[in-house]
Amino acid sequence: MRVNWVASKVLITLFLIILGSSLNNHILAAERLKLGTTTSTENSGLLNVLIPPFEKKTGIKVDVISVGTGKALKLGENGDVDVVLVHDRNSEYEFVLKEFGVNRKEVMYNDFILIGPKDDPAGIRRSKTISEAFQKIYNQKAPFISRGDDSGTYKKEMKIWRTTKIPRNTCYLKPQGSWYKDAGQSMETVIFMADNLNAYTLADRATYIALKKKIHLNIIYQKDSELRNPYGIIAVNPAIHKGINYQGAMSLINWITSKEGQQIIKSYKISGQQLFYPVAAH
Amino acid sequence: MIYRLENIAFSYNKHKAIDIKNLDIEEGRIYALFGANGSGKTTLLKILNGLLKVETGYLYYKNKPIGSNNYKLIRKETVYIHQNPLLLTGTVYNNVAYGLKIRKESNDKIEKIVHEMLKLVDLSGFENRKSKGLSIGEIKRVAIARALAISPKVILLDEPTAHIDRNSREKIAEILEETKKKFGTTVIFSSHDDAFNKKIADKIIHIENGEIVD
Amino acid sequence: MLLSAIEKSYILLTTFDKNLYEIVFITLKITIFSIIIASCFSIPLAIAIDLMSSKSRRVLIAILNSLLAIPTVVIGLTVYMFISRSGPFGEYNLLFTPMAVVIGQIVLAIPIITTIILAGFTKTDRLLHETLITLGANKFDLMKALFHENKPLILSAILAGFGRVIAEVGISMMLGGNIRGYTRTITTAIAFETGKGEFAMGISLGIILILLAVLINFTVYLTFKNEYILRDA
Repeated sequence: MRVNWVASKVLITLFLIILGSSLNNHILAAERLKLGTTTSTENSGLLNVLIPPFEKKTGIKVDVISVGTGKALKLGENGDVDVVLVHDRNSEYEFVLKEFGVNRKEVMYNDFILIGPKDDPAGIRRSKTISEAFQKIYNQKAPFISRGDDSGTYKKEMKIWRTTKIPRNTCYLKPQGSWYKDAGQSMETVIFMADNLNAYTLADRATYIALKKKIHLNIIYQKDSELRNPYGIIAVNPAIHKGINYQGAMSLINWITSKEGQQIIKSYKISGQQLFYPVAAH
Repeated sequence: MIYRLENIAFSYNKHKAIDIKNLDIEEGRIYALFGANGSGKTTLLKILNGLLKVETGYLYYKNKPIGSNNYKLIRKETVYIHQNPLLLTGTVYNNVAYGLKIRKESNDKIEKIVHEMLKLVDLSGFENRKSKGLSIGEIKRVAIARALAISPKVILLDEPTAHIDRNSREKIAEILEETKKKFGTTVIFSSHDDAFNKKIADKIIHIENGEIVD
Repeated sequence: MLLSAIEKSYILLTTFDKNLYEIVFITLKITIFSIIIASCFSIPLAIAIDLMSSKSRRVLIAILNSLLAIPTVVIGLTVYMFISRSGPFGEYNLLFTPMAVVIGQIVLAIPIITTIILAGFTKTDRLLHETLITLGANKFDLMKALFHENKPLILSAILAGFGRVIAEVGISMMLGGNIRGYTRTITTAIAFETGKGEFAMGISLGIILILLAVLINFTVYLTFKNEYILRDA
């Protein structure tokens, strides 16, 4: 009886130690690298083909934390990720300028598209520029869903609104009215919302293609040079916070911008369509 | 004299439960508290065990005044048994042994005392029975064995005869008399069973509305 | 769409889809660990509070009850600020690891388990207190006996805590970061897969979550049922 009790205590303690260490065991077993990125790169499935060869080659486990561009950069600023893969040039330059990040490299681009109901109730299919298309949406008060967050897509949307002739607020431009909905959600959610509400929205092509079969929305406007969506990768500055995996970050940057990495990006397709166009010069 | 009470009063939420001018309890005798429900018998028993603390008046135990600093004295030498005693989950043996175990007695000594006590309450052979399946009469007797195991000077019982059959009542009467005879223990119990009181009590104390009446 | 999603989820469940069961395995690993640690704090805490004077007990119970009302995202945010590299415990590298989720879940579970145990105590245990005190028990003996006499209650409190923790999403998402194969738990995966429009995966995970909840509640029900039988006898 007494022996049993002691034995069971020992067993429980052992179980706890094993369970506890197995939780974070990868930390002991392998080097870990935290990548802060946007949902478009993870949800499109690109990272699922781009990361495993890197992990195999280097033995570094990559933890992908997919959030919006703004949030990803914020994580980098706080030192909570080691490297960021994002898509908003202005914020990226600012990030490097403020010395939160170092060694920024261009990785690839895809493009934004304006998607909306097939019958195009606002009649914007024939617009000459994206600015004109947005102007028409505003004029007709056609339903429009905005990301309304800190994402690269939202920043691009704001940039486009700024090129239109709609009345300006004093601080920053943002359309007002019940036709314009700030969702504050991920790209996927916003596309599904637009689909259900028969609304227009600005989306990145990769996410749109990944969801295409599940929605009724069509591409209404595309291929304006203004709509190009470049992705950059930046290592978090190891001088700011202790414990940043700078070596790992640099290995990942080198891998993604290497010939092999770029080839993987180029050949990644969903239903026969290429999603991203590599640009790293080698 | 083991207890002396002088002007002891106790109340629950301003409702007076006990108001005793004078009461002496002598060592080694059996006392019955007799009175209606709510007359203050349980309160008095709990005061004598230190489970309730005296608000006004003086309580002497072996001629020492009991105050907030020496309640341990009566707690150590007296045991109180509830009307419906609670047995711990597990075996009868472990219940009777409980008080000895927390006093860190040796296993040999514990075993010897437990057997002796179970024999006294006529439950020999019940050692390995689970406390769950016992009848109320048996539960009361195990509770008495458990209390006596720690060799108290005083044993206080609340309604030991309530809710049990005649057979068990007679057993309990025998046990209490045996206890007095064998160990010289002072026994104080409450009961409104007149016949039982007359049979075993050396003295019957009548309580009405918290006061002692002669 | 609903039907095809259910059909696909049936296939995922019955073919033991590797991704699906990896998520379930990670969830159980994290949650069981959190609950065991939380119980190690909650059980002594509940017992200690129960033995306090009624005034301080009431104050502590009020505090615990208000802790129950804190949303998981607030717990997540608070822990986040402490373990972020820019926070006071940044050097331990905890954010976006399973351990981070464990910390958040412990904070969530402690008030739940403690209050459930305390609620059960107050109903029954005045008699137990008096019985033990009169037999000469000190505080420590009382604590031990309270534990032994209330095992079914304590077990059901632990299981209730487990059910709450396994179903929460705010803490796991914020502190774990929904990292595939590392911190992606059932609830964060449901949020993630539903966001992508992958309803089949979401439904499969939802079914597993419901099954776990049913299992837990059934266990709680059975332990309590036995408890009642015991008290009636």
